[in-house]
Amino acid sequence: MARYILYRMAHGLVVLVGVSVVVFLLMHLSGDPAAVLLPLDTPPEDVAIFRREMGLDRPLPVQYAHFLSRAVRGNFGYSYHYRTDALFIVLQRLPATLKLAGAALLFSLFFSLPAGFVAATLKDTWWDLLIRSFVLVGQAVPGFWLALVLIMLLAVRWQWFPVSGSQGWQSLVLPAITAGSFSMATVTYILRSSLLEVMAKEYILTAHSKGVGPWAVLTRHALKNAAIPVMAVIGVQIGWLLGGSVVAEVIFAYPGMGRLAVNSIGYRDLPVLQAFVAVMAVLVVLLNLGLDVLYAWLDPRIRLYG
Amino acid sequence: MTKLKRVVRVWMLVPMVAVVFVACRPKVTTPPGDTLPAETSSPRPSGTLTVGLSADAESMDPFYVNQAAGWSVVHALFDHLIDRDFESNLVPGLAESWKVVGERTLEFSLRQGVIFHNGEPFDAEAVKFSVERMLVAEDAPNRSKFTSIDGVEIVDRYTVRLLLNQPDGTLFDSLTSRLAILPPQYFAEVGAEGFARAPVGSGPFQFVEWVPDDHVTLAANEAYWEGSYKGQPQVERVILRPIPEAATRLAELQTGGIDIMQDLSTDQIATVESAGLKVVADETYQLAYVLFVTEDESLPTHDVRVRRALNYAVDVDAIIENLLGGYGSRIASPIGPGYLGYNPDVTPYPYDPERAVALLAEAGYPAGFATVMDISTTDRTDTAEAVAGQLAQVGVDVTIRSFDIGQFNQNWMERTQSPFWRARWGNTPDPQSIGLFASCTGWISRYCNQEVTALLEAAQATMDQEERAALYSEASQLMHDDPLGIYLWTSTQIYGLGSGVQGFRSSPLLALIVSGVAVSR
Repeated sequence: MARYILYRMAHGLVVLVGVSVVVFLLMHLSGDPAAVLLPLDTPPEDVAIFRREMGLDRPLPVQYAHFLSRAVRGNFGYSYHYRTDALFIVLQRLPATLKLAGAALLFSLFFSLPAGFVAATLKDTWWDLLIRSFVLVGQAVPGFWLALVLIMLLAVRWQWFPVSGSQGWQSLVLPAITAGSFSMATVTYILRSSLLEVMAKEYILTAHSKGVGPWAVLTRHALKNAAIPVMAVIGVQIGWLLGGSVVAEVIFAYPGMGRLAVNSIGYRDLPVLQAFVAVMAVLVVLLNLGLDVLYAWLDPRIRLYG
Repeated sequence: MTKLKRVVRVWMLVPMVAVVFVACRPKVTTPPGDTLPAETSSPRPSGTLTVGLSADAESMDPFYVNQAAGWSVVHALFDHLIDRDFESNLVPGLAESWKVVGERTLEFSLRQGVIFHNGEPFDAEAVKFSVERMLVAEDAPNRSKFTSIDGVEIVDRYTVRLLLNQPDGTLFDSLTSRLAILPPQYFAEVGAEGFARAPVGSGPFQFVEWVPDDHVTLAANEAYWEGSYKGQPQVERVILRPIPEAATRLAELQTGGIDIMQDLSTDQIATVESAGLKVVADETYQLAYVLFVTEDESLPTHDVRVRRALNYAVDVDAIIENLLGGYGSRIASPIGPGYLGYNPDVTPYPYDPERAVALLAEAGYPAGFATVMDISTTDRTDTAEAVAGQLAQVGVDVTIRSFDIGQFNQNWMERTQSPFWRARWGNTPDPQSIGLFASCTGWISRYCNQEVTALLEAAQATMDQEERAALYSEASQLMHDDPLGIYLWTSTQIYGLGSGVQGFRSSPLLALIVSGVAVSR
């Protein structure tokens, strides 16, 4: 098991280095930050001074080597836009993002796990039909539309929740629903199909035939095996929620990392973007490591042959 | 399976109970601090004013602020030597008066008895420190506006001189908003980073906290000096919240989450008015154009007849009326209404498509021509499409290319833009910066008229404001007759106000001035 974990960690490290190269190159293909940061009326000689100050005039490999050597020490340089430590700015937003991602995941799982379970066990009943229609809607509705409808109904008309901001738990509800609705639909679907697949396996039939009650077959035999693909999907969804709740963060004026990243792209704020991607990559790699360990615990075949 | 169905029913009940629980709770109110009853007649500031801005400030250090959202904070926390009031007149700020001594010296008599928020007194040392910091702040976006300053000389504690390396008539304008006066002792104690974390100025409000992308909180400075055009603080607290999405800002205004909404769009006005809330709209100094590449001889726009034809071809009034909701005035040249040297005798081109067709034929384009127009994603596509549609009527086929603002500006700076590009320019009534795109020597200019260039350069190097006005006025006629683009309209800044807001005045300089605004609920 220890070897397996070490192997997965090494794998994660390779991913991080790869991400750093890709990110560094992509950012530099997207244009010159000086064009965004300086007023249009800046004289060319001042633009040159600015580019020298920011280190933008050096060759790309030199900039990358410099970037990497500082990055491993947690130094991503100064934000061009905010003129302060880039990593600090990103980490400042991390708690808000974790809170929102957590709330969205909670919302998603609260509905999707029971719903997927019910849809599978009561297959082809009106419960199943209802849940599947709901899932279809959840996957089809775009986040920005859902967000605006939620604001109009729950915040403006009935005033149950604040429109936007980050004051208290109430302000988390609407963004969490917006961010979590897609993953709710996905997890429901996967759990349903995974359970149905497992329920058709021969060992379930054996369990039934030796007289085990239907509830016990489900909870003791089927669920654990059906959980593996579901765990994989949830892992992907968490990664997605961490970086992808941009729509919810922008519309609800929520001070998270996604909104920071979008703004930073607009400002071509390379240090902040690099710090953001690094923090995200580390989070996702750690998350996957955790999940890998969990799979191995759920399924001994993985730790033996993985 | 009955057990399972029971479980399902319980699970379905949980959210219903939660909804009922939430619904029965008292309505959600705005952030804390709103409970004090506001009495606007009382001299002491009271209540909380919450403002919804469209973007966050980029820094709390005024030297690194270059956008409207940041200026709103800067004008609340800091003062400048000279101010522009709500009518855009130059009025005393921290300097009570100023005079030009010789060609290359500006002398300021400073206001006495002003103290910074930390108790440090304001005097000539503070001016010297602030100017000198700007001169060496190589990464400060506005440093280039002060390159004519060679040094600062303290005459006595309340008299200070700026020594210039050349006469610079535009310096007054730059001093009104781009060079905030900072407390030297405090700055020395905390350093640049410490200052950006906890800024101290002499403005009507003092800094409380900044949570980036969430809010800036300011508290009234009850010792604010008398006589500022900004007025005394009327509320105890100001909360500035960046809310990027316009629909969300409007919802906040409707529910009382914010008192003032910045950047209301024209299609939201009806909603605001039907909710019984106020709308304040004021024209700014930002002018809208379609600019042309004119210096390239292979392009149709090299010919002045084509450029005039394009101005005749666009029904600008119809676009203002139908797409901008009537907000905005036509312009006839880059020296817009209210600008120094604005010439009311220079009138916009009338809408005359037949004349346009005739001029195009005369210039050798009887069948028109095809071209490309760049726009930035921060601009409205519908107005660009309307302009293109009207040009198509006279045979000019325009393809629109859209860029994010960074790429758009980069193309402009590197002179790689298309033959037409949709530009917005200007935020003060001083036309100082138009030479950059309207003269032979401007580094982002694609237009060269020697006479215009001579006039603009003379205006730049003259300290006498009346003489400058005369020069700009003359240039305005020339730029009308030899157009560098299609002259469109002045941009309008529109605010939505909650019913309890009193005393709000919009500044044409894009910053939102929060002192002087009272709020009652």
